Amino acid sequence: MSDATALAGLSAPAAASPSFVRDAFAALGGGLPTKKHERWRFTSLRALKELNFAPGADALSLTLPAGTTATKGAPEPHDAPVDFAALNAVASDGQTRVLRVEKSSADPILLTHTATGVHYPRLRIDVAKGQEALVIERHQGRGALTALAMDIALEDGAILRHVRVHEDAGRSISRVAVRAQRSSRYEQHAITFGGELMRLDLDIVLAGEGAECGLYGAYHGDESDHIDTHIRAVHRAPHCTSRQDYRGLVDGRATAVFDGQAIVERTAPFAEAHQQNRNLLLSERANVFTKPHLEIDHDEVIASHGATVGALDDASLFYLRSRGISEDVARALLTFAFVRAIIDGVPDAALAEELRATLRERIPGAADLPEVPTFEDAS
Amino acid sequence: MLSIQDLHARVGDTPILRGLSLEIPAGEVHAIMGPNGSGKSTLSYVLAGRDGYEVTGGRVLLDGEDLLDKDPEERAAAGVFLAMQYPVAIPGVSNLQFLRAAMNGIRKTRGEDAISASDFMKLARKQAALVELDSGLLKRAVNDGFSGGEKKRNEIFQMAMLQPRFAILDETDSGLDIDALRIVSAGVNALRTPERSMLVITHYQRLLEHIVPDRIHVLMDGRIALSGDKNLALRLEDEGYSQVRAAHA
Repeated sequence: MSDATALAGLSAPAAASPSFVRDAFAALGGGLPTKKHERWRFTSLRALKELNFAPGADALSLTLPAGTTATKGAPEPHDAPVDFAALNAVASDGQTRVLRVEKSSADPILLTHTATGVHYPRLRIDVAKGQEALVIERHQGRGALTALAMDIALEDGAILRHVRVHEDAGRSISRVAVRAQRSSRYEQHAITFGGELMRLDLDIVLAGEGAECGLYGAYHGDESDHIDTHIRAVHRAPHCTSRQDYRGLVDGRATAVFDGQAIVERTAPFAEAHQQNRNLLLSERANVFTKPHLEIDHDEVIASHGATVGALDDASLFYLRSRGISEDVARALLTFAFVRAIIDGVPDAALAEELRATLRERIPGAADLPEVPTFEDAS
Repeated sequence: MLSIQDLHARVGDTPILRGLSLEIPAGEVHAIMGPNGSGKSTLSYVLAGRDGYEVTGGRVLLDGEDLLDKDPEERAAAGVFLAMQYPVAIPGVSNLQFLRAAMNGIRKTRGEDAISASDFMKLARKQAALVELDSGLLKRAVNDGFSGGEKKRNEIFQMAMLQPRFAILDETDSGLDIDALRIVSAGVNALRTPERSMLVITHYQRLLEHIVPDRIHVLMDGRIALSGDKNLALRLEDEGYSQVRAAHA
């Protein structure tokens, strides 16, 4: 019996009370997942034990460009949902917001989550054949729990650029599942500035020939923040490409977890799969658990994976200081630079600039760094 | 102007400099040559203040002021510049942002006002032309993806921006082709003034045909074994260090 079937046996969402949720998890095999579950090995859910799981008021606002429609429906998700996505399926109102991009627009789709309580947003985004869309998703509430489930379907040749921004967003557990058909492309930039419990499960299936995904993340954790990224990119068709590049700054007693997996199935020759996770440890009490890994059922693969956890490079620090830059400023420059490339890749110039400014404010000393002058300044 | 007096230094437990003394008057260019492992790069790092190079004796004075108890950034503010043998690449930090931070850092230490964006860019444009450094490279991240020649030209460009009192050029000729050597040398020569002194570290006499030194010193076993005028380089090229070592012993 799949998890989804287990939940289907429970009563209606009106009963989304604490006991209902406890029952739901019991049906999943015994309460909230613990560290004994492989998927939750490095992430404790103890803080959720006393939570009243009853959903609060709708806290998702949508702004849609011309060419994108919104309906409510209950379409089948791609895969059987597990734990929190399954919880979402029951505890949301059973309805899914379905956005369909029929026609490309220069304007983004804006999704803004403002939950302060418990929130179960549930979405599906379909991008029609050959169309392009930009989704800017921001988590602005300091939620007790946001358990999000999002299914994305890209038809042939479609392109979706998805930017997710969490800024001290409390507890946020998201599952984003993407199915990419022939020659389509999915790109995600996940920018996470702090958060008590941040968990992203990103499941991609490259289902059609020549499909691609580019998955990028930048995170900064401080104090007791916990930032956990789990990725599964499955190559199911020939000539598909997946890239994962995640970089983080981990300070205070914060913990960063990265589990990035690429699976190349027998049906997917000529694959290209890259996974990289780099971490800068800024405190002796900070923790990083990182595991980029690759499963290949085929010989025709170009692949690379790597992970680093370390401190600032001494040679770079000396180089900057030897030019007259004080140690504090040199550290701030190098720390900022460590994750900046990811933010520079955010496909919206104004948002990228805002995120750089936010990052500057979060790194001690970086707020005073000189702006990058341009040749226009000289005229 | 620069006075090195009986300098001893070690890296880990290994003594590298063993009583090195050297005087470089204002306006002069001195060259240091010497076999591999004689302590040339150690000297440059000790003068610039890199961690891991422990001074165990002696003094280094710049215009009478002790350098050795200063941090690297304080030495830069006092006028020391090291053009590195292997300049590091720093992805994510643009050349211009880096240099503006450097100039403002030095000015702050000296109690001066920060440079305006406009003055900074005018100066950058002028000094980049000195070493034929493409303005596109100024906007790129520091040394990131630069060729060997571009890195060395970038070092001399930085020197031209920061206008040091005393510059050390550590094997600035390594990895340069003939054209790049000519450009880099012309840039260095343009920066020779009656107030500025330089210490040129090299393995090859070829560089000293372009940057003609006032004095040449041979470093062996951590101290100066022999000094002479510019013709000493030709003798070394002919006879090799072993002859010099034998004659010196």
